[in-house]
Amino acid sequence: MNIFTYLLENPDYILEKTFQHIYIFLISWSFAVITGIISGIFITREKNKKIGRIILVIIGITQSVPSIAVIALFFLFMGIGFITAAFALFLYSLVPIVFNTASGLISVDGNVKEAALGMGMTKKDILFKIEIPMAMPSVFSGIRNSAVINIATATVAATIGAGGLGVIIFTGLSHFNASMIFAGAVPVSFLALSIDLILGFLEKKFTSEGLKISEEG
Amino acid sequence: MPIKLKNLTKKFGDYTAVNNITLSIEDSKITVLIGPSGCGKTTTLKMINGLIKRTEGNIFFNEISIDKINPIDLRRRIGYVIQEIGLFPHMNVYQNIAVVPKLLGWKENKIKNRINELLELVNLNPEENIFKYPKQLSGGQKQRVGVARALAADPEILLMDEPFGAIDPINREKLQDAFIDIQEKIKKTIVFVTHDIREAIKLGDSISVFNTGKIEQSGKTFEIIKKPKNKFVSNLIGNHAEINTLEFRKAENSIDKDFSAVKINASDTNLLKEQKNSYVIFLDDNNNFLGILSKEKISQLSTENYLNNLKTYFITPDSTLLDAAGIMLSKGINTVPVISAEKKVLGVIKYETIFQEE
Repeated sequence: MNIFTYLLENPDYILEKTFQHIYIFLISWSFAVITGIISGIFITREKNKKIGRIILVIIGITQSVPSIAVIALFFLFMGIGFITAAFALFLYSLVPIVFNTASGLISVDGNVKEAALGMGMTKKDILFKIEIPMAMPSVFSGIRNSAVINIATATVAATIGAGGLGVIIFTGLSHFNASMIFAGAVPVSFLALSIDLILGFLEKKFTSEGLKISEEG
Repeated sequence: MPIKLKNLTKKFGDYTAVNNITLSIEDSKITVLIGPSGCGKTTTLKMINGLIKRTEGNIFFNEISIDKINPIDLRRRIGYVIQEIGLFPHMNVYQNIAVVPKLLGWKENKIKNRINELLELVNLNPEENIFKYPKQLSGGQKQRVGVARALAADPEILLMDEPFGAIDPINREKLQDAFIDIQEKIKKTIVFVTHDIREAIKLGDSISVFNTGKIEQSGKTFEIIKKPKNKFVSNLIGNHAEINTLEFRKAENSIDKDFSAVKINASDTNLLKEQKNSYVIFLDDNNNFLGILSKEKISQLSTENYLNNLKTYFITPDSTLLDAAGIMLSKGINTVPVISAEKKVLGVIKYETIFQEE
């Protein structure tokens, strides 16, 4: 028996689990992207600065909690199933997005913002025309990070009955079946890589040329 | 548009940054606010476009209080240039300049024409530079784009906060010269903040000297130089301010039309004696400048020797009074002819004109 045996003999089953995996990823991650960017913007607004700082500290701490612990914790409170897994994944992938969005917005040069205000831009103009476009590289690195983390962590979601490629890996583990573990792990890395590739392409598209070139002279 | 600051005060907590200043800013002129850091000059500037809210007093544009004007509209009508320029790094030159016209809802075509016009005004080649990003420009070019951007929607007022401060001295001089040329064309009401007295004297039609939140003295640049009101102002302008300022005064503005000129072939001793000035300019038959002689010298020479002894020094109208004074001092004379490119005599610069009270 070689390592590809399971992969080659059960394409339909693997495909089914892959789609499950994509499904749980897309739902939890897209909510995280929307919520994360909005909260990143919210906590960097002038009037929310104090609360923003506290939130950023809390977020920094949660980033160091292992993913399996997060899922285990939610399982204790919410029981088994898809919803619990999706919610835990949502929260776990929210962290890098909020963190990167906020730090991208904070690092926009004060002089630039003042020039914009002095030229007669409204706060909304400054946010959408200056701050967000300038924070784009940072926002994207948060989104990409979060996508890769989400796809990887979603395998653990299988332990609380959410399905996905984790099911194959954990079954393989309990049977000491290397070929089965391999058949679960390969699509996971393949998914993570392709999502990162797609996001990299989008990042290129949505980031201004002016931010990519290095200083002259 | 004239601006009036009336009893303007700004307090940050207990600290009074600007203390009860009153100042009239003249229409179509450059008014320089100068002083050491922390003197309140930048705070004053930022109160004019409402970036800083005043504590007391009032600001009037054309006699209308700033309170009656929407701050966003006001800022769109005032060009603003800051020291670090504040060009938007994610926008190219075109997009940077187009910001205010776009906020005002201009048509794309109008914006395009305006941007080409502005880039020519600030001496940047539109084709070469329009798609460049700020990081691809030199410091001087960035500054030019900054000025073009501030002028984009043709504002009546321009506020400039040490715009040339971060530029090396050689390029700063060049930018200042270019800026003077631009202002001659556009005639905006400009409030210009600097801590460099040389820059203030060079650019300012008027100067207001700030110190610890108050105006020490305010008036026409030459008034300030001739009659510094107190020790602080005289220290600021320095010991040789009068001499130093000659460098920034164009000869063409001080030309004296009262001069004596005769055609060399028509000159005889009697005609020359009738000339009331102490120097006589000699012309050829086409009225072109040949040279100048003092009456004293003339009396020692015979008519046929005039030509060989003529002094041929002169200055052009775009020379400075420092050039004129230099010739006077090195040649030991008190009159220098001003000659056009076509060799015609435009007038003379006299010693008294240079150093007279204005």
